[in-house]
Amino acid sequence: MANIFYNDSVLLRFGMGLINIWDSIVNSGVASWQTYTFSGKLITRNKLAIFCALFSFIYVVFFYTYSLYLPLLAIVIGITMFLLSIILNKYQKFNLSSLLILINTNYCVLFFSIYLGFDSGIHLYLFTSPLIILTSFDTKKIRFIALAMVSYLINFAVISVVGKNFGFQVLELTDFTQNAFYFVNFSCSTIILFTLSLYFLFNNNKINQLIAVKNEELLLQQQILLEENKNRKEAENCVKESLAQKEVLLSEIHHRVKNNLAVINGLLELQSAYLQDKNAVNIIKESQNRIKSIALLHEKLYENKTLDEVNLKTYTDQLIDFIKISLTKKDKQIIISTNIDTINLAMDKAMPFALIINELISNSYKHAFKTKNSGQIFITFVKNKEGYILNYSDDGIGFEYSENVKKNSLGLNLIETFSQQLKGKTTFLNNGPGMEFKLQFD
Amino acid sequence: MVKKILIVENNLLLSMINKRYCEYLGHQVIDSVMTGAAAIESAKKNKPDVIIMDIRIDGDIDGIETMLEIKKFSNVKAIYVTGNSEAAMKQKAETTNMLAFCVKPTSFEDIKEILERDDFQPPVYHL
Repeated sequence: MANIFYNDSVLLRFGMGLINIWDSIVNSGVASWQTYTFSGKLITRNKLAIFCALFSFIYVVFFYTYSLYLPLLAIVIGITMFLLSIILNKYQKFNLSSLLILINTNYCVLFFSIYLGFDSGIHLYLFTSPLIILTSFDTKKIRFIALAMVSYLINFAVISVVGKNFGFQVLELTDFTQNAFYFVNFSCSTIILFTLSLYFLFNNNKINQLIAVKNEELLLQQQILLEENKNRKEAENCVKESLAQKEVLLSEIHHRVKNNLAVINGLLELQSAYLQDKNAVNIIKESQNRIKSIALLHEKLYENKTLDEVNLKTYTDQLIDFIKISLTKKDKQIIISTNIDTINLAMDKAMPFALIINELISNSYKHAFKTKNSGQIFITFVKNKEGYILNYSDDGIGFEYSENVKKNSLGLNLIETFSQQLKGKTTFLNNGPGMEFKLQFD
Repeated sequence: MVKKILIVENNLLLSMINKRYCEYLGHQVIDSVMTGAAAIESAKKNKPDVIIMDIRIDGDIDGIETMLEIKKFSNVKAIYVTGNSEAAMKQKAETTNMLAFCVKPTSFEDIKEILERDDFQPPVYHL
């Protein structure tokens, strides 16, 4: 039993080996970049070369048996050229390989027609030439196809006209051998003709089926793409719509915030209009300024198209303008000098910063210049390695910062709270004339 | 000089506050309306000296469009009071008969100053 298995596996391996060799010869020169038609023709050409080589081998045996060395040499050259065409394909020399096949088939038919005589029927193989051209050569190369056609036709003409009429036959054959030759060549050429026809039909059908499948795949892909495109467009429209809605909503909220701040401001203003106490009027004015600081911040936020940051340079300049208008007393000349970098801050930082500025300026107006007719305020706001740094100073009377002072001042409490909100460090200095305040935050 | 004022504002609270302030200043608020159409009607009927006009109001037309309609029969001027400070809006407002363009929250001192300017000319109505 073990022996049989052994034999089986040897046979199997031998068979597989043969198939592998056959495959590698037939597929010589086939590469992935080629179209199906191109590689199909390449394979047909290889098969044709193998068939011709094998077929010619019969003649090798025949000529050897009769010790006819000239035709033996000729047929060996023919076989070598067929095999060479396969090797050329392997090195991607497709044109050269095709040309070799063309020359070789012509050469073989011509030589043996002359050598064995017209009646040996070698010329019958020329009838297969149109199908050889159709199945084995690249039909896109019109010039080559024309050359092939013409060469076969001329060959046929030479053999039939010259060969038949002038009857040069090199080898003398008996009638029986002549007939046997004719029979063999007639049968073989007919078989080749039918085989090639069937092969051509089969191959064409296969290509058509392949094209149909590819077409279907393309249609399917097109449909998928169309669907995807449609979905994407819908999503895009959705996003656009939602963006538009968001803008409308933001504008609406902005409008309401401003209206509400205007209402609060208006109510305070109306109430203060009926007040007699100047102190009370001033306190209400301070509150109004705080509201306006916030309102101005909203305005700047809305002006900035990104809607999440405020340009503090323009904001601070405008804030100072309106504080000046609201606080200036006729008998006092107060100059505010600013040096502010172009800094954008998010709303959560801009709001406390703005209110700190408001409190500081209000504080200076209220307390610093009590004893003077004029005064100066200096504001610098820069960004450097340490973060954002605000420096505020005036040349007024100055004040000593203490817990006790803070307890009685809403302004100072607000400054401290807003600084905490900014997670910043604050320092009050009383070095020279007036006060100095420093705020540093990230 | 006591002026007849028409207030166009869709926020009733603000409308009331503006009305009281104008009255506090000694002027006469002849009507308070919320829409452009009502403003046009009231202008024809009451012939105000000044209109305090919000731009974003109820109805089909905004404050500027309302003023363009009123321009067809009168040269009465508006004090625009709006939450929108965009330059484009201000430019559009300038094509109408405009006394001032104030951004909310407006300070009443501004309104007072505008109402009491010396060069005030009473408007003409062609009806």
